[in-house]
Amino acid sequence: MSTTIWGINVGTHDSSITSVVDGEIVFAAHGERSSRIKNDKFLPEQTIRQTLRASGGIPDRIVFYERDMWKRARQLWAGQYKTAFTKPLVTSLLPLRDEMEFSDKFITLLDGLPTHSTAHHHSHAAAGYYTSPYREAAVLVIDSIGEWETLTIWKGKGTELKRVFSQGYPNSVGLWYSAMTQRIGLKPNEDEYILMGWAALGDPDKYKKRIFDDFFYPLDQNSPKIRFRQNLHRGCKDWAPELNSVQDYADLAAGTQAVYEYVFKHLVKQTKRLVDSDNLVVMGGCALNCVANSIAYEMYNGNVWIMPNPGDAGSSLGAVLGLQREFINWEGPYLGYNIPGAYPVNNAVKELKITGIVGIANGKAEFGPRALGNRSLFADPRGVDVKDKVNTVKRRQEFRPFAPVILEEHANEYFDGPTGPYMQYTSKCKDPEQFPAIAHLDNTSRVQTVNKKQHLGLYNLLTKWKKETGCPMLLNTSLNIKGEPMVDTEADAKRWQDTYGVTVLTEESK
Amino acid sequence: MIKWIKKKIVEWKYKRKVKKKLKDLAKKDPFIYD
Repeated sequence: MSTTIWGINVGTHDSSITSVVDGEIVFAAHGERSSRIKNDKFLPEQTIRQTLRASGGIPDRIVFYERDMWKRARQLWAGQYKTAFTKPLVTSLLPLRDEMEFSDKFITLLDGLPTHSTAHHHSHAAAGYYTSPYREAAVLVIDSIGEWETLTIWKGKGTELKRVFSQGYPNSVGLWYSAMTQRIGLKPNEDEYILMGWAALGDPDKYKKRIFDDFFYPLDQNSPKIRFRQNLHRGCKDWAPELNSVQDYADLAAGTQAVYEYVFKHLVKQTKRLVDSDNLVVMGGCALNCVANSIAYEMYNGNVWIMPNPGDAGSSLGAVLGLQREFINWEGPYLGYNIPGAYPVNNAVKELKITGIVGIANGKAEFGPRALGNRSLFADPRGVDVKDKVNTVKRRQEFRPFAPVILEEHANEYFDGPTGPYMQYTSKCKDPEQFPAIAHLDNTSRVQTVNKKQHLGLYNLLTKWKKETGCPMLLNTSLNIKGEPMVDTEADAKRWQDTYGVTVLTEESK
Repeated sequence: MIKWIKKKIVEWKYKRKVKKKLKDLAKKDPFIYD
């Protein structure tokens, strides 16, 4: 008899659901993709229906991400009285905001099912370790706040995952990074990746020391503890009010990123000291900082695993794995809603040769923040106007670069440094003048490599593109516009095509 | 009795002041994370 377990993250931000049937991930998706509300905290009816369909019925048990009461206790301690007292119980938030009929039916359906919960950082650690290729590893989790924990280090050996260090609220590296994101006029808890990109435009040395001295106590070389001079839960909008020009903001972004890298390096070093292992798993929202990830990659000689959805959305999977305490077969991040049909290789190449830009929405949607081929907007990376063209379509800031996707066997010819299939590291572009759209101002690129096993359709597309143009790579960005969730279904793809005037292919037509 | 009433008024004023302060703070600097 098969066992179905659902992991659910709902109620705070980035809602998601994962269904694991007999130890295999059969479906995993973000709520925002169906509700079309960025970082939606509710799980929409459509996502739940998709999960029911993929699982073949209701689950045998449900695991919620986070310990609700622990979190409320912290919220009370922090002064978030309204949230702590008025937030409905997680289980009642499960369904949706306005489709109460379905909600009631759904709750009745689940009535009596055993429910569990996995703590915030334990879920992160489990999502990373149990999907990794390692059977022993050090696990470093850095994020804003869970229930109380903000930074943890774990030791994984066999199926056992043991916490060896924990740091609690209000000392939080993630909160500080979000506070700095808000300080330079961006949206905290959402636009951190823009700060990372903006950093390349500024001088990192100008404010690095000031930022560190004003916010951090000196680092202790014998402990991973990071102590802050103030609680940054309400941001730091009033800090250094005289710095308010665009260049100041760029310098602040650069300084912030430089300080983060310094702190991250310290944490990786301390992880190495505390856990004797050649392998490292990095998780938590901070693991999306691909510039810093490259530091860990170097320090562990490439033996680093970052689950492609390391933030809170990925923890619906972590919640299940934290309960199961077993390794799971990780085949890739293509786990969401399926658009059937052959991957549109010929049509895409044809469109790229005519217009230079094409969208593809085909196969299972990616579970994670990056579009890795199935909900992607591709463009010819050669030429000076490509970046502006795609940025205009996507309504993004001009300075922001795009990522390249390249055939794995050609990656070393064009890039120098760590690369991987999930766009998690940055490497130097060897010829930025020929490919200005995929190289940042500091000539780095966030490279996605592809081989036959990872994604046959995308591999064939790049092979055909190389055969016809001599270029083995394409610009790859998510099929959305700034501030919108990625396209999910055929209907979304059609709407996107009609609104933004770029052809979106959902299957190969004859 | 008068003493008790006076004490209650002081308490009430204090609570009102704290509540207002928290409200202003939330308006000026809301929490950036739940």
